[in-house]
Amino acid sequence: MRINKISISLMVAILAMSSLIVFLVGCVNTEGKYVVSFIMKSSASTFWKTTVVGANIAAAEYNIDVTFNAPIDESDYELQNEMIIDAVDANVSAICLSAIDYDKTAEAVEYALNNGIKVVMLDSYVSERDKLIEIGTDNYKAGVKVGEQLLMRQGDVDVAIVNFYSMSSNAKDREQGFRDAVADHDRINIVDSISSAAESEGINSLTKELINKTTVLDAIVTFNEITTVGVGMAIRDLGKSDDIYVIGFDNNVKSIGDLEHGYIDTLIVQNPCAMGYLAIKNAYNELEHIKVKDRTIDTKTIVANRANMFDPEVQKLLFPIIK
Amino acid sequence: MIKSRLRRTISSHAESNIGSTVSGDKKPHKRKTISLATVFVSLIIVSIILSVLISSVIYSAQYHDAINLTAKISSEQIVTQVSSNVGKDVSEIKSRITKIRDKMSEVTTGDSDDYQDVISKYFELMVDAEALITYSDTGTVIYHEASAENGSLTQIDSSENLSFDNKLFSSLDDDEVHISMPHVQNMLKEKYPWVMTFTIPYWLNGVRMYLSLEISLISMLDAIDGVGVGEQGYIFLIDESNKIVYHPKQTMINIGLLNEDLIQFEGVSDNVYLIGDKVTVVKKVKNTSWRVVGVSSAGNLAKEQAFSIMLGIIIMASVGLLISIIAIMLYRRLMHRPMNLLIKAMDEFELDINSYEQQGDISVRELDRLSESFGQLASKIQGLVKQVFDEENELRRTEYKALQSQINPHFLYNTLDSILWMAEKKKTDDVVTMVSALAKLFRISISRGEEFITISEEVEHAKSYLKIQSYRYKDMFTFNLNIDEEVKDLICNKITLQPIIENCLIHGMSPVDVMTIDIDIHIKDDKLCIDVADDGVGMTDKQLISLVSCEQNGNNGIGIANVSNRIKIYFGEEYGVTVQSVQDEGTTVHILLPIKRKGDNIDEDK
Repeated sequence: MRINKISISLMVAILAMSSLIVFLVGCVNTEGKYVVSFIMKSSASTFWKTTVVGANIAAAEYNIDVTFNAPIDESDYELQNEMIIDAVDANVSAICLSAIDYDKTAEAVEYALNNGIKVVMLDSYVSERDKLIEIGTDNYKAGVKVGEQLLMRQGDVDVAIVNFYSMSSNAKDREQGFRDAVADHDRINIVDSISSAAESEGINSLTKELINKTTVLDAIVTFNEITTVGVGMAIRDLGKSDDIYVIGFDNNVKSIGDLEHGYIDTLIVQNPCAMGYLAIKNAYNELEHIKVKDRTIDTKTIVANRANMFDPEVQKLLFPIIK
Repeated sequence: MIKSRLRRTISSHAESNIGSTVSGDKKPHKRKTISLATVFVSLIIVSIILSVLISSVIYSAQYHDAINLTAKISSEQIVTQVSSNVGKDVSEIKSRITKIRDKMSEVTTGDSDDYQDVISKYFELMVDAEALITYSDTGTVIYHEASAENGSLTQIDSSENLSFDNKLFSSLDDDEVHISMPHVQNMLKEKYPWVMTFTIPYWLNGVRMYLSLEISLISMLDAIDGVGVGEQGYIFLIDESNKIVYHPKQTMINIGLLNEDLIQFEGVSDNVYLIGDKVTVVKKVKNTSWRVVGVSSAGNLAKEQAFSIMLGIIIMASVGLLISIIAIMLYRRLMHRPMNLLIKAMDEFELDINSYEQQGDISVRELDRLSESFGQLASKIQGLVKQVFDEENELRRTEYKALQSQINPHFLYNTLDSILWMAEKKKTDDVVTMVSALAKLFRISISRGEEFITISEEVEHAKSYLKIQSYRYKDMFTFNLNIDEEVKDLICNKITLQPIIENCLIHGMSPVDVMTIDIDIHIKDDKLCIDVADDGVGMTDKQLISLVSCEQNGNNGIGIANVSNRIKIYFGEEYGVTVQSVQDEGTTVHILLPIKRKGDNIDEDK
């Protein structure tokens, strides 16, 4: 009886000690470093390279290991889904994701969520939207901005839309914003609209076709980095820089050159660096259970044109420092 | 008087019985108790846990300051290092551009190709330069070399040239090198590198010109970005007017996601701040108007150091636990077990005083002393109990003797009355018989004060008594004596038979029948048996019980219980008197005695 008592108290003591040890070790070694998988739509463009810069800054700030992944082809949602599943299987703490396909990527996202992995969306989202933090450009607003820029033109404007065909909603939302912004203005006349998933070269020839077949064309609006580069090429090739006012997206170095030389007149520049930074920051907040007030975060856009492109503030956003 | 004395004797006898057995009021001493072992074990455990917690608190409190100091120092070292690296880079570039300027001045031919050669030659040697350009004082590009395709530059108006600032340049001293803020170089074809422009004025044929070296920002940043201050620390550059020259989180600051409070650095050249666990170090860069600012968190360092400290504490605690386990085992071996043995022995002693034996094999001095003391106490108690018991026996023995020597006054009166009556009737023979019987009765009763007499003497005594009584109860009873020859020399307590016979006469006689009393003395199973049987009326159960329990026989003489108790005092519980009685059939009294002869030692302690 007494022996039992003593061995029980010994066991209690050992238990208490070990829990104390575990507690202390836990205090000291705050459960290791978080590993976050950062899955982009592509790694080739300036846009995505800049998100990596932002993500790395946040990674250093929050002491997180970030691994970067992206399919070569921006439309290869199957490969991207595999990357998501691989990340889940590698037991990462969180995934920052830019979805290639609004619907088809949702399944992989669901899989990650079901495995208890935090998912933060950036730039392009999935249909499973309510649970996730979304960081990126408010695409509709950006589209409206394009409309506002066009409305600054005097007189009647016959405009054509060259859009990027994709399963993500970005391009559609931007186009919708634009259409809504100009809908009430009779002087803005949308004469044609094309949509293609082709690379810049393909867009180039499609745009040439469009320009050649359209008798009157005052402006072209386009909503994506690739199409902007393509349209810029076509304008340069056809020598139409004085005739056609071009509004494009993003700060591809080619587009900037086109802007400087007048082939493109206005660029709506997103802030991918902030997206990358905020994606990691919010992933960290999710992992640390820090409540985020606003689950949809709009990283603002700026309007760059030939007149302001070298202003110090615009300069810093238009020309990211990429090593 | 005698009666009360006897009663007291009985009751004291009963008390001594109680004393030697026990313990009627064995106390239910299981109140809420706590084992010493439990107290010790919990004390040790609590003290270990407490000491670990307290030491961690003390450590963390003490080490917090130390760690902050360490963080301050290491942060300061890193920032100083960065500052000196940047300073070295800048002065190296300054000396480079001065050297190129000198080389340009050395060209005496005035041939533009020779100037271009100098520019091209030096540009080729540099890996960190994006462009090397000479301007006229109005900003027209004269000679140039650039990292773009074919070294070509887009000729742009000087007002759009981000590298050229006429107003600033015109105020430069001859050997002064101007360093621009980082900006995009916008004269290269399809290339917009971030650069810092180093500009020095020079004179060519009396005309003031400018030589600009465009150094890639990224190559400059190696000195800053390559060095980290702690895991989450960062370094940035500000100029004398608190404007950020370079900040790794520039984009976040631009869009308002981050806020760097620069006002605090106003006019500060070298300083170290510690706000919370955030260490901020400011260091001036030599030869420039820049300052390097390093921001780091002491928390990281604290965590690393805390881990090693905690490890130490954990090891200490484990050793403490091990020692306490050993201590507990030692305690169990040295204290707990002997103490339990002692407690058990005490419990047994409580139950039966005579059973106690002193415990040997106790190696702890205090416990050994305790055990020894208790042993002495126990043996003293044992001695006292025996003494009380002996004294009690002695007292009773004395009392019995006193009782035996008493002459029952009724009996004496009746007998003397009979003798008187016989004398009046001139029955001389009868008087002689009676008086001699009476004399014998008294002589044997007294028998020189000895307790034991031989069976033959006892029988004589009984016979004298029967003879005297036979005159009183004429023809109402007869008796037979059957004494084995071998028992005649054996001894018994005196006045053993007479009370039994008296009892027969009191309870057995009937007015109708003549009662026969058979007295049979023999040896059976190595014991002396005295059987007294009558065929009288017998006794009721009530009479029997009062007979056995009563020390005295009615008002006079010695009772059967007295006889039995006397035998038991001298010879032990196995001996004594038993009475069987059946109503209308008679009563049989058995007396059991040990076989003893005169001179045999009689153990009176039984």
